[in-house]
Formats: sequence, C-alpha cells, structure tokens
Amino acid sequence: MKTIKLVLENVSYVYNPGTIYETVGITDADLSFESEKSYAVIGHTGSGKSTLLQLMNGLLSPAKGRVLLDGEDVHAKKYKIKKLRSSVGLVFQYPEYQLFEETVIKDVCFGPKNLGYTPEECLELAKEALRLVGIEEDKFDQNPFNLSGGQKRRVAIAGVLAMNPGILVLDEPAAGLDPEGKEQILSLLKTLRETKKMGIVMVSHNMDDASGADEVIVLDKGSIALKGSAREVFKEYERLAGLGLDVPFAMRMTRLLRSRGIDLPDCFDNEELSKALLKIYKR
Amino acid sequence: MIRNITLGQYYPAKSRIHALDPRVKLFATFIFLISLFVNDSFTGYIFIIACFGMVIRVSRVPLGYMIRGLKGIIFIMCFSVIINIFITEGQVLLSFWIFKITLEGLIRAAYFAIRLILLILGSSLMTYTTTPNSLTDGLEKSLGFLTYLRVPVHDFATMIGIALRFIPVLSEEADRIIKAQEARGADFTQGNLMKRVKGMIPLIIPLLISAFRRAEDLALALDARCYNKEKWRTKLHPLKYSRADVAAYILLLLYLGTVIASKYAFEYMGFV
Ligand SMILES: Nc1ncnc2c1ncn2[C@@H]1O[C@H](COP(=O)(O)OP(=O)(O)OP(=O)(O)O)[C@@H](O)[C@H]1O
Ligand SMILES: [Mg+2]
Repeated sequence: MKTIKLVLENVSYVYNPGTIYETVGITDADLSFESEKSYAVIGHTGSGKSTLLQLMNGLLSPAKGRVLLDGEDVHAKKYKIKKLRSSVGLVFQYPEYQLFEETVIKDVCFGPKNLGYTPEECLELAKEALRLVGIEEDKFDQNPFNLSGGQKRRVAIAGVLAMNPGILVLDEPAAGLDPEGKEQILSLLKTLRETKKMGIVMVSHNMDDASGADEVIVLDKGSIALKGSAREVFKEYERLAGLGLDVPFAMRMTRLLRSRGIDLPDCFDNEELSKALLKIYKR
Repeated sequence: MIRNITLGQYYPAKSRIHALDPRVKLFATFIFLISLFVNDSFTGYIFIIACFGMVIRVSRVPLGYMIRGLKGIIFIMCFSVIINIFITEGQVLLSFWIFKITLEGLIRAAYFAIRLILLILGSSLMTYTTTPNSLTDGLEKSLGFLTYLRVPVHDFATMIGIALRFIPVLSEEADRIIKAQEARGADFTQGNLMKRVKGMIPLIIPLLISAFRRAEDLALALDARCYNKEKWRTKLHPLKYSRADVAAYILLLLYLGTVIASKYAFEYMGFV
C-alpha cells in the first residue's frame, strides 16, 4: 500500500469555454488529500462535485492551477499519467455500467492489466479485490451482467481496488442501492480505510454518511463554500440550508427538540443524542 | 473522438432562420443541394457562397462552431480530394514515379472539396436551426404524399427524429464510459490499428448495452402513453406557414433560377 498525498493548487475548470454552452465546473479549489484519511464532498446538484473528482484523477486537466501527486505536477509533459491513475482510484457514479468482460474476474483484471502487471499478478490482485468487496469465489467465473445490482456495483468497485490505489475516490457510491447494499458499501469503505490505510474521498447526498468523514468539503457553484471537520462544518446550519443542504439527523433532531423546549446539549450523532435523551429521561 | 459531436445537433438561438417553418428549411436544403450539382463555374460558386454566407449570418450560428462540426469528415474529404488530383487526365504539371498531377486534376479536386464542404455545411445548417421535433414534423408533412404509395412516412420521420435526439445522449454516455475506463488505466489513443480496435471493446460493449436499455425504456414509455400511429393523431403545434415562410420560398426559387440561368448564360457566352 502506497501512502500518498494529492494536492490541488488553485485549480479551476470550465466546460466548453468560449461557446454558448460555457459552464463553470470548479473555481479556485485549494485542497489536499492524504492516505489514511477520509473526506466527504457535499453540495447541491450541479455544484461541481463530479468535476472535482475528475480533476483529482487527471481525467480533466485544469484550465488554471496545478494538481500535484507527492509534489509532482501530474500535467507536466514528462509525467506518466498512469502513475496518477494507479495512485488515485476513481469510481464513477453507477460504475456497474462500465462492466464489459465475460467473467467477473476478467473484468476486475482490466485495471491491473492496463498498468502493466503480469497475468498472474493481475489474477492475484483481482482475487484480493473481490474478496475485499465480499464477492464469493463461486461468482468469479460468472457473467457480471447476471449479478444483482448491488453485486455488480461491488464488482465494479473491485475493478478499481485491484489497481491498489493509495486514495480511493467515489462518486455517490451508494446511489440507487437498497439499504442493505448501501450498508455493505459503506462498511467496505470503512474496512479499506482501517485495514488498508487507504484514503477515502466520497461524494454523498446523505449528510449522515458524510458526517463520518474526517474532513467535509462543501461545494457551491464550483467554489469551496466550507471546509473542515464534520463537527465544524455541520455547525453552520443556516449557511448549509442556504446552499440547499441539510445536517445529520441527530443535529436536526436536537434543534427540533430544543425548539420544543427540551434542554439538550449540542449532539452531533445518534449516539450522543441518545445518551443526552437518556440522561433527561432518567432525571 | 465521439465526444463533442456538434454535427447534426440543434444550436439554440433566436433568429429568422430558426423561426422558419421546418418545411421551408427542408425545401431550402433540397434547393441548395440541387444548386450545388447544377453549378460548375467559378463565378457560380462565388454567388452560391455569398448567398449561403448571408443565410449563416442571419441564422446567428457562429461560423467557427459550424466549421468545427466539419472535423469528423476531414479524413473522407482529404481522401477524395487526393484521389481526384491523381486520377484526372490532362495537362501534366508535375510527375514522379507512377503519379502525375494535372492542372485539370487540381481544379477538379478544388471544386470537389468546395462542393463537399458546402453540402455538409448546408445540411448541418438545417439541423443547427431546427429542433429534432420540428424537423420530424416537417419531414412527415413534406413527404406526406408518399403515404399514398404505402411508404410509412410517419415511421421514418419518427425514427429520424429519435435518432437525432439520441446523438447527444449517447455521445454523453460514451464520454462517461471512456472516462470510467481511462480511470482504470485504459488508453484509447495508443498502439497500432489492431490494438486500437481491440481497445474499443471496453467502450463499445457498455455503450451498446446502454443503448439497448434506453431503446427499451423509450419503447415502454411510448407504449405507456398509448402512442400509436393511427390516422387521427393530431399535433399540439400544427405547422402553419407565415408570411416569412412564403417570402423564403420566393427567395429560394429566385436563387435556384439565378444559378441555373447563369449556367446556361455562361455556356452560351462560351466561358465555363
Ligand atoms: N460534460 C459536461 N459538459 C458540459 N457541462 C458539464 C459537463 N459535466 C458537467 N457540466 C456542468 O458543470 C457543472 C458541475 O457539474 P458536476 O457534474 O460537477 O456537478 P455535481 O455536483 O456532480 O452534480 P450532481 O450532484 O447532480 O452529480 C454543472 O453546471 C454541469 O451542468
Ligand atoms: Mg455528479
């Protein structure tokens, strides 16, 4: 496992510059991401979350600013972009639509193969990745199109994990899954972080999921509106509401109960809220 | 690449050309094509280009945008121009090995290129200024007489409309899949031809699957809304000619008349 650091220095991106279709993607983003940490990117629809993720992986080149991987400019002429691709793994929204091989294992091998691993190494990496995402051995030789939606999604994530990235970037990884499938993905991300020391960057529309991250980045119309620890960011209730965003359930509940006259301390998550309520109940 | 296809797409703007009835624009395209094939003189081309240039101006579609749409056909164009240069017999200007370049060949190639460019720009101007929906309506109405010959005009028109409508959807989808595979280290730009063709599989299979899925969804959606093609289908916005449309028809006929007349006049006067 590589420990890496990815820095976005004053990065801006505009779609279709100079035409009537010109749209702001990202403006002046100054961000830094490291292995072993988790980040949540939140923002209203169209705020530039997906654009930001694509900039991190070199799929889009910034119009302004630099993207640095361990201090190296990834858009410099001599830089081998595959180095970035193997260090920062990007899982797109609905990644199951990128599956194309006849068998699950072959599909997962695609990434490592492109990075130049030998067939044996590819197989090893693919098996390891599939085990991590919880796909059983008997599914390895099945056609990926015959799996369930949640399984397909996990196979697709394994396809990126097999490249052994130091930071894993995911665009709404739980979108469109049932609660169980969602839970599986989220616990997978937790495992990756704890046992593999992988950095996790996740776009999410669910504030409760986002609140589990070490750092929360709030985007608004392509600019970074807020940035900081989850506790700091979610304190700004009014500000977030103005951006069309919510706060985690426990914080919302705390506010509601307080407005009904119940004296509660600041509660950040369900755990804290239930403890505070229990205390009042016992009194 | 497949990304950013502008050819054949609608360009939203407010102009007199955009406001014209789609039947007029179809007719105009037809007239324009005829004029290109009738004309064979240099002076004629100047006249045609001048007229076409004015129409582009009025349409408010930026010329640069239109020319960018030509990119996709550069290869075909160069190919046919080169063939034309080499196969035409005549006064030899330059020769090497088994090739010789003739004056006539150069002239013919130049004419050919101009014709091809105008042909494509002309028909793309129609799609730039007409939404797929109104284009479909226009086609159906203009070719309506073929229904009597048992030609399923409505079906064809609807098919063309849907195809045009889905070009941007599928090109966006292709863009997404290309990016997703590039994120997995795929490289669609390197290697020899064989390798590149094979390298397209990770793009083509997901794209085909998604196209089929969309087609199925669309069919279901049409069915769920009780879509059918019975005779009594009416339109929300029936096509109606305005004064501007009539004026456009007159201008078009004048234009075609001028091109044909000048051709015979020049021939009569003895210079082509
Ligand atoms: N390929 C593209 N071409 C042109 N404009 C684009 C493209 N992709 C995104 N945009 C525009 O850039 C802006 C930011 O888009 P982006 O996809 O990054 O938003 P997002 O935060 O991911 O939204 P969502 O939550 O809906 O996924 C939007 O205004 C969008 O319309
Ligand atoms: Mg997005």
